Amino acid sequence: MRDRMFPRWGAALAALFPLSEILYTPITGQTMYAAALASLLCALVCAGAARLAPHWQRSRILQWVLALAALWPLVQSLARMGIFLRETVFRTRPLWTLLLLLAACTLLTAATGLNRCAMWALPVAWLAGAVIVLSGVLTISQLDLTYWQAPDASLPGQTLDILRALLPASLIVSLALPAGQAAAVSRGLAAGGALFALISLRTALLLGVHTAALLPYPNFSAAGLASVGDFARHGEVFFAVPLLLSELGRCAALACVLLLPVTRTYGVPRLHLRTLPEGKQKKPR
Amino acid sequence: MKLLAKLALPLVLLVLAGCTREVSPVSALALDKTADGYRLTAEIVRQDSLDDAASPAYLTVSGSDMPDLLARLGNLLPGELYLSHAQVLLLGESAAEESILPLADYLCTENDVRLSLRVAVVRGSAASDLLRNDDEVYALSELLERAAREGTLPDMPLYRAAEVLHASGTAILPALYLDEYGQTAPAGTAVFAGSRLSCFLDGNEIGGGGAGA
Repeated sequence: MRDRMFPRWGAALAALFPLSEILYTPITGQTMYAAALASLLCALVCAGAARLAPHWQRSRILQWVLALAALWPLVQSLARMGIFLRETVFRTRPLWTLLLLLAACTLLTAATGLNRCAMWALPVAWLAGAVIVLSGVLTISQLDLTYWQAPDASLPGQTLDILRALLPASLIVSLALPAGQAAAVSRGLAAGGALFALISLRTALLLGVHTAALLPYPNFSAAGLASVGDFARHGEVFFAVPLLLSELGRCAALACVLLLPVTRTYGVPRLHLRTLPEGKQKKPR
Repeated sequence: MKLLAKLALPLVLLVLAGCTREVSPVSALALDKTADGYRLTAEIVRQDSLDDAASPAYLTVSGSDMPDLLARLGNLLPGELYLSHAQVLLLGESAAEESILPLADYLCTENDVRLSLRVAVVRGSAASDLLRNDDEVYALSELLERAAREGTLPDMPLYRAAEVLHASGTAILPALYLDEYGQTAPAGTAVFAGSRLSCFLDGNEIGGGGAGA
């Protein structure tokens, strides 16, 4: 496969990062503003990082630093996904089996390389966006505008909380991208952040901040109220699947960065080429 | 190597496979206060008739609070207690006179219970009597939904009730009663102040019987 990442793939890959936060973020009256602000700041920082990426990747030591830094957000993502699946769907399954499954999916996807991960991010991001918009539209008649709150003093704190979850992973992947992706990264993070902010607003206006505070996964629970008559009453399932795929995409991208020092340009294992007999190696395109 | 990679995922997926217990779906619940705690009656959906039609079966347990009651109910059932299909929770007047905030909080945090669960207060009789009155599954939820759409009863699903109870401790919930023909009928609005049943909007006091009384 040609080692070229189209800007729309890069944008979709970046959009997965804010989308991955939707399931786990607690909802208050400030979450909409905090999500928008954090995504905007993240887009600015990551656009700068994507510009620096080609210089960064020239140094072997910096590549190793990036790979080691990718380990923490990767483990964090896998753990929260595993816990979410255990608490909502697979209650009788041990957590380790879910973690094993998620790690296997991540490694198999990452083994195809960052380029293909970005390519697959495009349909996933569109699917997640469409489901979020649909979920919002289906609950629009149940929204209560009296639950709306203006920004207050707790906004900076919540923005920092979201930034802490969002920035490390996005920054690490931005620093590992090929050249020319800076604009795509900022576009993707801004688009994902807009969806994140909108769905947080929907949940706050639908459930109210007190009810939302009781729930471990408020956006997920709120999606359960979106139904089309008696059909598709479990709207939260349709909501969670693309968001979990988004998070798997994020994990795969981080795993590609983790493998970067021991792989060829975009995460495709370098060992393949070494083990092939002389003359049978693929010519670089 | 590639074959190994392709085989790895199905092998790992096997860890999620296995036999699961049959589920016992609950369609409605009724909570009454007794001298030594609470009594919970559950309407279980049975689909074991020859014509495959759903029919209700009723199970009653006693306990000290909702988690305890649900645990006891789960022990009674042949299959796994499945609350995702529960659409109505009926509260007897005596149960509603206690603070319903802990109950609302518990139901919101219980993974299986849907936030769209409708809570109603039963006037003039035990909640379990009204629950057993209909032999049609989901008849109560349809009645409450229709009345909420028409505006004859408050539209107050669980998530909205929990929100207003937390915000101000004041809420209104639909009330039902058994009329003189033994039919389930709307009985106005139950008013909660400080998370406890305070009065009914038609002016009748608690324990004063149904709307028609």
